[in-house]
Amino acid sequence: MKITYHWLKEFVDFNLSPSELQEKLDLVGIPVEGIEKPSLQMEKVIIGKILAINPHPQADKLTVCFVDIGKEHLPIVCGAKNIKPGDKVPVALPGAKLSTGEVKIAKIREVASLGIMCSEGELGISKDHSGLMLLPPDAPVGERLDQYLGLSDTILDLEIIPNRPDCLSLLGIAREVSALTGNPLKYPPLEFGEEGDEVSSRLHVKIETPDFCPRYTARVVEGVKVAPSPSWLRYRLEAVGIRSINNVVDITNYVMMELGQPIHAFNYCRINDNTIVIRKATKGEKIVTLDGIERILVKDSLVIADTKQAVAIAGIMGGQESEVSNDTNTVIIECAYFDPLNIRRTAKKLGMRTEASLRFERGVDPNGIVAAQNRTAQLLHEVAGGKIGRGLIDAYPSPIFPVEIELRPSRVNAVLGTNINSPWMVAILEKLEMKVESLPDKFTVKVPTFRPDLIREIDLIEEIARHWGYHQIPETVPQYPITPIRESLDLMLENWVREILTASGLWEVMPYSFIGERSFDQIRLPFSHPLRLVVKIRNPLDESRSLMRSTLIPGLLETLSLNFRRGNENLKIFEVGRVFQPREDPLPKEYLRISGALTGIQEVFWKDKPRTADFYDLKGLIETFLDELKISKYYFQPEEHPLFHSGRCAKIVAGEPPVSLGIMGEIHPDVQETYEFKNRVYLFEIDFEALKGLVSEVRTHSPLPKYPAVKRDIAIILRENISAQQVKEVIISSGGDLLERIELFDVYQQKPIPPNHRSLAYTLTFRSPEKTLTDQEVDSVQQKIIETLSANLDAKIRK
Amino acid sequence: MKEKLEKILMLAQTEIKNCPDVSNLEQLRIKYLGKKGIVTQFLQELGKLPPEVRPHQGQLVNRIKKAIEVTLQNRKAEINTAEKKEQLDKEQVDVTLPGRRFLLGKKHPITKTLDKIQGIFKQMGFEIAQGPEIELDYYNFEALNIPRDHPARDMQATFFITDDVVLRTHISPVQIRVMEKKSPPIRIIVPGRVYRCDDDVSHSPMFHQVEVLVVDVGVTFAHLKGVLSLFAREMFGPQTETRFRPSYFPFTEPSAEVDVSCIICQGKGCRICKHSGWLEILGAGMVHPAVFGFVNYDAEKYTGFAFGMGVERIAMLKYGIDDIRLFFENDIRFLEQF
Repeated sequence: MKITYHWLKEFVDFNLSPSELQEKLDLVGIPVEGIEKPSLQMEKVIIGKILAINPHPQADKLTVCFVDIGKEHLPIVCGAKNIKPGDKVPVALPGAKLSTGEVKIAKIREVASLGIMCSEGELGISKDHSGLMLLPPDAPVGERLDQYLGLSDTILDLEIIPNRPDCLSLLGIAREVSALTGNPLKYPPLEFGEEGDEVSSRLHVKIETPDFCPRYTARVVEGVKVAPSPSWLRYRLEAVGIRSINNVVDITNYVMMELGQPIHAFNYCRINDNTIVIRKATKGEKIVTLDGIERILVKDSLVIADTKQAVAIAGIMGGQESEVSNDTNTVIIECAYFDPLNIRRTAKKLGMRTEASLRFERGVDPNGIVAAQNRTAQLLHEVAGGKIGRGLIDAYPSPIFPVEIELRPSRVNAVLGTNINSPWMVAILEKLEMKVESLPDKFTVKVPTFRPDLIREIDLIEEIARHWGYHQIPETVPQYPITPIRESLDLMLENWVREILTASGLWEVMPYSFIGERSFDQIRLPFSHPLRLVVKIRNPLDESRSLMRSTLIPGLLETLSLNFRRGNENLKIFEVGRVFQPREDPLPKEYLRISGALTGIQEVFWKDKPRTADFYDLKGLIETFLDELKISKYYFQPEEHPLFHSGRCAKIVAGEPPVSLGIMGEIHPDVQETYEFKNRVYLFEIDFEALKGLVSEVRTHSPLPKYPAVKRDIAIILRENISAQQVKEVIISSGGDLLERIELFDVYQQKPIPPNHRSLAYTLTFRSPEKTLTDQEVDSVQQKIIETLSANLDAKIRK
Repeated sequence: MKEKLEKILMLAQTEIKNCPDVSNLEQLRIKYLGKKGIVTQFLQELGKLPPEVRPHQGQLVNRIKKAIEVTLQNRKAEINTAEKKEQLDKEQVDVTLPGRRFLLGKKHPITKTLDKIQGIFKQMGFEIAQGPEIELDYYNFEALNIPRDHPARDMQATFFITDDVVLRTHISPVQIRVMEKKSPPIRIIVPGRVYRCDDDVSHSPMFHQVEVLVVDVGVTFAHLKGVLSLFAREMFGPQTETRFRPSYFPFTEPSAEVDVSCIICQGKGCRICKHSGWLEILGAGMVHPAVFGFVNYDAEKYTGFAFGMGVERIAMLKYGIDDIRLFFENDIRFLEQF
């Protein structure tokens, strides 16, 4: 909310510069987001009075005016037509900088001109260049125009927190300043005379829904002259960001800014049967609002109506039909208290947010309404010449009373950790216009209705803390018994996983948790695939971010894709993140997943030939990963998955009984094409829970061997459809206890190996924990291995 | 005889000194000291000499033999040294050529920042707590004293799954879940991912928050200030100052916005802190008694404080990043910098 510095001073005295004021307000929780200094450079623009207008001797369209500027009379050549002697106008003296340039002493067709009389356009106040700006008859001659119009006022932009509706007004801010400085609060003048008929004979008010409208007041003002607002009013409103409409509307807005109470003016003669009804909208009821838009009202919207139709959406916006216009003579001034929740719901449903609705939905002061009525009446009389009708209709079916809260000074200090004395607490609450009654060990505090945020003791404690100053509260640290904190296995493992993967050269990435339906098409998931069962966002930013992911893979592919497009082609990345799966429970199941991808050149070095990632880079990575987590007996099983290359995909299995940890493989060429990846991409995804079930924190030491090992190399030829896993299993089962280690060192598939066969070569390590093995002992084990391989797998020894 | 031997010695020494390599040197050894070598022959002939001259002559021959041996050894050492040198010279590399690098991966800057924040609180005996990213309206709003239609809901643009299920808009629902399950004392730190319907240079629809919660008998606002200032100094350096300004959060009261002295300019005023010297990075306050009501804590007996911060904001300030979206684009050239 914007306020101006001098306007605030009308409500409370203070000796603070704008920036000092900013500092103080900051400390009580009203941050000043910006201070705008006046932008116009108008020291040399002053108010002048035209004394005489003479024809220009050389030019028909020009005149020579004599203008009184206080100290002297100046001849000024002018072309404007909208002036007469006696008018007051802005005069720019030589040296003034206008939007049209610097003013200089000039001779215009032989006649000296010692200044310029200005239009609003020239002054940069508006875009109006049609004629000179005419000032009110009482404008003081010789004074600076900017000071007179309030153009030199500093504007403060305040951030008002949502629970402080009272601060959406100058009065509310002034109250805080008053508490800060100790200077008394000054209320605006509210005096005016009433005349004419009693209001009750001219207007009837009926509240059908007292719950939604606890209070409604109305007054009738006759004989208003609707006209543009006087400059002071116009500029003040414009300074705080409210567009000037006409004097009547501007006054309602002015009072709203001052007191925080939204006010609406109706054209009296447009209200059928002189009757105002506050009721709920009927089904499908329509109204054209002031902004010219036809609104279809929603259920429970509160409307102000006459006997025929709705004339305003209560608390939000008036209707065009009953709008105050130039020919309006008599107006009804409405000042009410509406249920904040109802206004908020209606405004939200209609998508309308106005200065009025903002205040009503946060809660105006139900007991400040009469003051607002009176201030409006006073200004309408003063500015628009209105005759204020006698009396005020005040329908207040359910009065709202100030609440009383008990406050224990000991509790204040116990919560804040301070030592504030009770008299100080009382003083500050009283400065904030609360009534404090002292009882033994506690107070009873009566909270005015303009502070709907104060309900409990803690709310008052906050008030005291705010004005005591947070900076005056000491800094201490709590003391508590030492208690060891054990980190959960989940957190430890998550951390561990990141350590292993980064040590393996993978970069951690963090894509969004959102994906789109299209991601599933891109990874070739059939419509019935379980991963397509996802949690949908009802109000997504866009289609591509409309689902909560069920797998990390699309995010990784997008990340690869973005990097590819930017020329980063060689990548090793991973993510540890959550995926979501809908279920019976209202909350979906959240699983932690680990996923990674390799692609492109894995190592570049000038001595070596660059090598691009292949299936075995990925597999080696996963083997290293599982080994490091001490997961024993894992194996890889060929797997079919639409995302992956049909011949290069495996399920990762481990444990006893075996469970699936996840999947790995090369992405399907179609997926590679879709994403336009230059190189083949290798991906894995592992389920964290499954992994956790197999991980052990325990590490046990086994003694280093005492006796030497014997190494033997064997190469066997077998059919190529026999997997390395099968061979390994046979070797292990036939090798017995002495076989310590099997290491594959060569796979060969060209001549002289027969077609559809391949040769696998292993180094076998034999060792006994009890003695040094003899050649004969090793020979016999090796022989047994060879015989079993030959018997079970039809393998032949390659000589 | 003596003269003869001296001559042989001189000849041998000359030959040995001019010998170019180890194999030629061996030839020379054989020539002089081998089984049929020149000096060896003298030794063999000693027996033929009369007994009285034998010792003297013997000494003489042995002296010559020793001298040749020494010369041979020295020359061998010389040749070895020269050969090593030649080899080393030949094997010289261009030390300025690039080395074969180990390609380490790195954690994401957000993970790193989170690790640092959590580390500070772990040292102080705080436990890490977590909760679901998709959350019931009850935990995300209701139990945090933000009923339906509360204006504070406007402050957090919310992604909805259903009327009652949302993507959590802040990390605070976890405090409710923890307090529901456990009685005080509570000292937790809660890191996690949160979501809001915003998308621009300074707002991402997904980001991370960390919240700290302490509930016990006798916890005060002064404790909040003490712990927070301690954290700020650990996180941003020992010179860091903190400033508490009143603010509003429905689930804390009194509430505060917390500024730290600008970590870029140390409070002197710069572009990052908009010349104020302060950076607004935390929200804090005493746990609202209404929140204790929702978890059945006795609000008369217990008090507590909580504070929370945006991880991206801290990382952005720390690393001088001006677009939050860079974190989630994951351009490898961005990630490499941390």
